[in-house]
Amino acid sequence: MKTFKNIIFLFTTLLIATPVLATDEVVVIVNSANTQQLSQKDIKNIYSDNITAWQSGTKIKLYNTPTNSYVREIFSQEILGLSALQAAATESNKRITNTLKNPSNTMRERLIAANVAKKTNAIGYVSKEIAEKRSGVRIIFTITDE
Amino acid sequence: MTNPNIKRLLLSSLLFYPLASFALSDQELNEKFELLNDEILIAQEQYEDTVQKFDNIMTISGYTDVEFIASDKTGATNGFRLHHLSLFFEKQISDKWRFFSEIEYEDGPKFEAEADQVTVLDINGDPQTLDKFKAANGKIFLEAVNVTYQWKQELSLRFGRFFTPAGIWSIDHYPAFVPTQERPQHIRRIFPQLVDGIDTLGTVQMGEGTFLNYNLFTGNGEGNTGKHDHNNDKAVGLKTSFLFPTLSHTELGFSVYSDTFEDNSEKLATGIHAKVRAGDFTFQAEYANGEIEDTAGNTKENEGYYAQFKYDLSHWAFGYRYDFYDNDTDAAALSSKYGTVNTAFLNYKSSEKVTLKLEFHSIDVEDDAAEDYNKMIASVVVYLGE
Repeated sequence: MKTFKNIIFLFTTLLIATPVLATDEVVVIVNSANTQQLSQKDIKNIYSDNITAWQSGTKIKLYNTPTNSYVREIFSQEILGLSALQAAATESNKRITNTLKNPSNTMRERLIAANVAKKTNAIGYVSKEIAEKRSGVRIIFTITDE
Repeated sequence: MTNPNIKRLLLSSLLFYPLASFALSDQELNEKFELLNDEILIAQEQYEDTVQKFDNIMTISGYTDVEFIASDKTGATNGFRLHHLSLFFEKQISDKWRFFSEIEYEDGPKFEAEADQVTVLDINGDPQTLDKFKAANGKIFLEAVNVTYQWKQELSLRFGRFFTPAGIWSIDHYPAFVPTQERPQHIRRIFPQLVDGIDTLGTVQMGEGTFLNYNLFTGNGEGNTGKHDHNNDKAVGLKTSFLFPTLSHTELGFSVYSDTFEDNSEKLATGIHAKVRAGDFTFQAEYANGEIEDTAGNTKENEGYYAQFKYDLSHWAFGYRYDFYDNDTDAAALSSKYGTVNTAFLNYKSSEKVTLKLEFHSIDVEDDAAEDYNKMIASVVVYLGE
């Protein structure tokens, strides 16, 4: 009977804990030498190709993860109000209509973190875990997908 | 050597040999560590070089689409159409200069020279013998070729051939990214498709989340080849789009275009456009009016508009469009070709690059005596870029 109770307890704990475990935090990062503050709207405008330069006048180097990554989906939904596929299609459309002012670079999270740590004009988004392990980057915005 | 000495020597060897081996291993490890460090530095430099090369490489992208068209119009035949193969060539020449071009192959083009030759006059008036074509199929068309000087966000300069900046569909028209293969009727009939000339363009921030996108351009005008202009008057145009920080996307704008034709008649085209996205719902509409006045003071006016509703649902999108065009609003005779088109569409994105489309058009032409008809298009569109 005690074993049965233990199983029930473990199962219930797992059920309660699952949503917490499934909570993924995605963070927007810039180079640690970049002191500019950005709001959520600013980030949206940067990734929507409306803002292409930092306040200093330096062109922004923009990083995206592949469309099949969960961080891209979370970022696109929460910041741009689009699915990852729609966001990618919007950029592709701008690219072939020759209206894209600042094309993004697509790569995996760890490479994005490494590039942002190296380039003072870079901005990207990665999981919080990767950002915290990488020196040389500064977290400017946290997106929580619940 | 005495036995105790031999014993000492053996004992010393046994004691020091492992220590000597360890010392050698440390040295080897250090050497290997340094070698690895060098390898990492070389790999980093190679990576930087590769990234720089990729940033400046000529990229080729494009799209292709195949359609099956069925219509109940008298005399129409149902069948497949190899509609487009379009190739885009892009190159970031330097930090400020960018090259862009598009070559379109439409309807499976075939051009084949035959044995006969023809003599034509070249640009200097001298005779030149050329091969003649047999009857040609399809079209090969240089839709865009230009270089852009990207000075800053607020101002860039574009030189060459580009799509006329007017409204929404004149620019956002590629099958891979619009919900229907058929475009609204007035598109390219009021504002021309292309401009050969110069465009000044930019984005100006007017407040937090409020932006003005503009294009101010001048060119040879419609009907001219890429070779020259028919007259010394240049076409001029302006497109503006205001983006507001409401909903997911709110865009309102207007377009103006003025041109003098070869026969000195004057054209003035004006238009307004709006696009609003709220969540998964997108509304898009355009209105355009064109007026041509000849030297005798006679005018011909045409106008068109459409309103389109689209709902996106994960990989699916569906919607409806109402579309109207009158090619001569003042004419007593009614058009037997244009009128009202009601369109319903369904898109399925099977992957990031592949879209399957189904669209149904009900065409109600202006002239009641002419035949109204329906058309269905099923298509596969593949985007060939990144």
